[in-house]
Amino acid sequence: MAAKYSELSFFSHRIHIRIEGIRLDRLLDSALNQGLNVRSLRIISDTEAVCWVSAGDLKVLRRLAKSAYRITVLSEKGAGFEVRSFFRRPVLAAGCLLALVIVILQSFVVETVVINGYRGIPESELLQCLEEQGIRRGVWRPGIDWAAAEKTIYQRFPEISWLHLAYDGRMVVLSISETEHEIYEKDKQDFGLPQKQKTYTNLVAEAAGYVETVQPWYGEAMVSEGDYVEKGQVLISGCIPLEPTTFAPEGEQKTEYFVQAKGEVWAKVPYRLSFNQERYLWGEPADPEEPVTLSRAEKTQAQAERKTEQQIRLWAKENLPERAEIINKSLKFFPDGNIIEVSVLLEVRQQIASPQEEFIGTEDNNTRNN
Amino acid sequence: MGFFDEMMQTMDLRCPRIILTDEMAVLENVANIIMLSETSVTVSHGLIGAAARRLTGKAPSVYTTITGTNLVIREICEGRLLIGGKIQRAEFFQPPDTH
Repeated sequence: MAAKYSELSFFSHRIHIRIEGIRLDRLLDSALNQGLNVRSLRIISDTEAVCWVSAGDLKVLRRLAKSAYRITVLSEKGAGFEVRSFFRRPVLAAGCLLALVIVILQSFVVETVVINGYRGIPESELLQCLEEQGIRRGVWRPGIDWAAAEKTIYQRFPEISWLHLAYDGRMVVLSISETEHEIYEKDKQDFGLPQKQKTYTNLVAEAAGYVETVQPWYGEAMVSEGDYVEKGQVLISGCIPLEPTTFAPEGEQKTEYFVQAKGEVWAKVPYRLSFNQERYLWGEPADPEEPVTLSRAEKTQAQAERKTEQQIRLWAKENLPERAEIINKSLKFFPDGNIIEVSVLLEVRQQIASPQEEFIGTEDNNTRNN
Repeated sequence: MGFFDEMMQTMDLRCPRIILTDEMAVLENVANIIMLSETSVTVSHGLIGAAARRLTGKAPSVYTTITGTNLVIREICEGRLLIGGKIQRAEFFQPPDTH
């Protein structure tokens, strides 16, 4: 048992020492007889040796050495020694403690929100509902009212038949199971309850033009680059076809689901405009006392173009949407009497997608525009 | 070697016992360290001092010298020396009568 404790004390705090003196073998012989634990003894010269001893054995060794030998501590190691020396440095200890506290506190902060099991309900709406209940990335997890959040989700989405809201580490997981919306509505009809008319959103063209880029964020793009679209045509549909993944009978499988479509569609839109301007520039008399004889001169081409540019700018300010860009224009001048009629053809690059709400269940609106 | 002989060898605390390879030597039943140098370690074996005299009637009388290069005494503990390094020679000898 003594050997075991000696072993433990050696590894908890061991000291590398240098022993200097004459007849080192006598000192080491005394150490052997005292049962001291001496390790890695290396004889450097006849009067010098280095070795490792435990902290307790070093005291005994110093007593044995008396004044005949000089013992110098070179270094110290060991788990116990490292812990003690760590706590002797308060700033380092405080820094490590602070880091530990930060790590622990971070484990109480929500890192991600994951939603499982949704089919007809868009994930974005579920995420938004959770966010309204204070469940989002970066919130303090113990402050979340889980019961209230579950209740709100049930109220907001009546088609959810079961949900499980829980956390796993720093991740919040919402698992839901949806009923068939049609069955639910039928039940409400049977019980005489008011039926909620659900809607979804399409993005339609607010002007005719040639599509340049299509960026659907939610929904399915119905047009592609280079297409010519008419005003009112559906660009991004909120009615998404659904590939059946269950073995339900064919008639009961959902074939589509609905989202609030979002996105941007940029197109080149041609505009034909017509402006009028005076043909002549009128000069004023040099002397106001003289009889009025106004001189006139016909506008040059450059003057007419400058005036037209001004008229186009005024028109664009009132009629073009934000971020629209005039990329090409063609001017034609037709002098007629005292006026010049200007025919303008503009090519404007602008965002043409505009949201249009549709009702789910109405036959016309659910028909997809291909 | 029979069981009885082996038992006697194991129990005999006076005889020098060495486990030796070319890079390590374990000396057991070490009573005293007689001499240390960079290239050799000499120890005596057997019971120590008064105990040896009381039990055997004589002081320890068997010595062992390990000679080599880069010798490091890895452990001195409870009558055992573990020596590392390049071992070149192990030698037993008895000094003149110590009665």
